[in-house]
Amino acid sequence: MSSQEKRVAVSLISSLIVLALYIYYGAGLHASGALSGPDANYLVGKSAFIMIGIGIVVSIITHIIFTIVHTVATGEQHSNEAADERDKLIELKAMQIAFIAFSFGFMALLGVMTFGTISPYLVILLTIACLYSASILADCIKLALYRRGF
Amino acid sequence: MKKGQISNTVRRLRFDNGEMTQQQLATSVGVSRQTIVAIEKCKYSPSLELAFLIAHTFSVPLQDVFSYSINE
Repeated sequence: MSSQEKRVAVSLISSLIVLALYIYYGAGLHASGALSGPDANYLVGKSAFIMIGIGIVVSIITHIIFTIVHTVATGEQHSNEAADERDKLIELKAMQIAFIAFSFGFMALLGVMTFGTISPYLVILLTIACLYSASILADCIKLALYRRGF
Repeated sequence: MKKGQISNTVRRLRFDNGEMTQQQLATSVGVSRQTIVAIEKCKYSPSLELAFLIAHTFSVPLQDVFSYSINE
């Protein structure tokens, strides 16, 4: 496994953890009815900022744990290779597909919003969740391209 | 546009040059070993600059390393 693949794997694991936490938090907000209350805009804004902070912390912790486990399991020392032209092409291809997927998700959410059956605050929460999902998709595509060859 | 196939002789050239390892070639041209593996397996077509760099490393002209054939 190259250092770029390890970096993508760490990003994938941390994104999955953050998305799970975000869905848990968002579902709690929705279930409690806070999204239809007077503090809904404050709660939604706060949740986005908290998730950015949690995302950074989770990413650092995941990276440390992954490096320790990988070094113990394989005996390989951590090498921090710079991204080369193939890595950049894989990144570009994955981001293109993820952007298209996010666009479809966003359009679907806007479509649901036009029916007026869903709170705009819930749409914002779902949009952010959609963004994290697109990031996970991008990481999955990158891993697939690294494994399959590109 | 007709679909073509880029093939290469990187693997043979490595062995002809003192059994150079993939890592040594990768280091000399500034890419990862995985990129060299992908090029050798014809799963990745390098940029023109990288192709010239590889040819320069082996001190041969570009056409001795890479060749292009059009599938009819």
